[in-house]
Amino acid sequence: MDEKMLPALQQGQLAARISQLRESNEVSKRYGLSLSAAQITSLIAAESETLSACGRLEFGEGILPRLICSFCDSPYINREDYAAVLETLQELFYTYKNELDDELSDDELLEAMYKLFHGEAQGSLEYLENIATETLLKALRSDGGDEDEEDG
Amino acid sequence: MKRTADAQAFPVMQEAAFTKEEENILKARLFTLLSKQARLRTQGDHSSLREEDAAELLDSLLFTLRCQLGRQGMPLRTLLTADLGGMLSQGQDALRIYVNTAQTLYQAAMKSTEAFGSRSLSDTLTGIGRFFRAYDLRLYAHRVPSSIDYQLCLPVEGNRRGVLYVVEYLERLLIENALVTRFPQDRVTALLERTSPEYRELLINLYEPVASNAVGLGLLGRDIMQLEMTYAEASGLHQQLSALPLAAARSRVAAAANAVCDSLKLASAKHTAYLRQAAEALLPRICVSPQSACGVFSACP
Repeated sequence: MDEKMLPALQQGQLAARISQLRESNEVSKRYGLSLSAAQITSLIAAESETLSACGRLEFGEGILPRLICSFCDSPYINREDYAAVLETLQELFYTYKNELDDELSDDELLEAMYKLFHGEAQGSLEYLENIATETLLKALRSDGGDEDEEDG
Repeated sequence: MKRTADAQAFPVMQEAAFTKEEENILKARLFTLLSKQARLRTQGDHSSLREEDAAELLDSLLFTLRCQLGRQGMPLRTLLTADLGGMLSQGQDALRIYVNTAQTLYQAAMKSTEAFGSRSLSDTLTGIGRFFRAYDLRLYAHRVPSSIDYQLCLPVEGNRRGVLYVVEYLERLLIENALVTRFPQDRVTALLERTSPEYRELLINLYEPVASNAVGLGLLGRDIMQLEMTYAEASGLHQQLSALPLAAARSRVAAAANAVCDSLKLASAKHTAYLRQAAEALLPRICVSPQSACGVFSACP
């Protein structure tokens, strides 16, 4: 793989992504969370590394803005570890995408991760890192409670 | 920073010797189009794809664009400035026409092909029927989503892909079938059984033994419809042809192939050219030894 593929495009994308994450700050600020310019740059680099490690190609804005919108209201995330949590979440997101073989859409996976993070995981990223993919599917099927409520 | 498809997935650039700047422009333009294809592929559900999936989409994109460039006789540099979305759409329209052509050829093949019990030929014809249901020219135009096992005497070139491959395959199959079915069935079956008693279960081409015997018998001045040659005759052909300079031997074989097509009333140039090419390809095996010549003609004692 050529690390210098699409350099012209990357410049344009990089600027757009920085701008998107800055805009996301406007949403997260309501919950006392925001990213500095350095953190934004660092997160975009981390996402690229994750994509590379996962062998995936991103065609959209990346998952970070959507992770911010989904998770910024979390009582388990504070301003000190906000950027670190986002970095781990994006890594988990793309890893799950591969492990699930794209069985879940982006929205579904985000929803499953959110439910688990705020449910069984109680805000523990370590817990999320160690779950089986079936747990994600189960979380998505559940209505947010602790137990499955499928009709028997 | 961002990962993208392998450089090898951009053969257009590699062939055209673009400048670095042009290469970057083209990559960016293709990426924009690829993003649209990715959205189409995922119906907006996934903003990212595995690199191998993206490479497949890109392969399809380039196949269609190349097809359109080829039809219009345009240079690859056209991709730097042309409306790629429009060109893709036109390319897809062209592929639809090829699909229609393939369907017409397929119907003709289904109607006329005599499989002589060859399972691979029957299975291949069935498989091509599935092609029309499975072929996705919007996203995977370069693929042939069906099993085509039956070996042609002259295989389709490797650069033919997608529906273009199927069209070419069917055209060749019809050419082969037209010649084989000119001969009495029992003669063909006897020849095929001499060639390989298990030909029905094996991936054996039906045309080659028939074509080689017809041309060989023509060279001997015998009745080509017999499709049967003795060891002595095959050895004689070996001696006759190996004694000649290669160009002269080729020329004799080509003349014999032309004569076979004439006598079988296969007047079209494509039939003659095909038989000539097939017969000339056998020359090295005929010339190498009498035993080899006997093998080429499945000669009888």
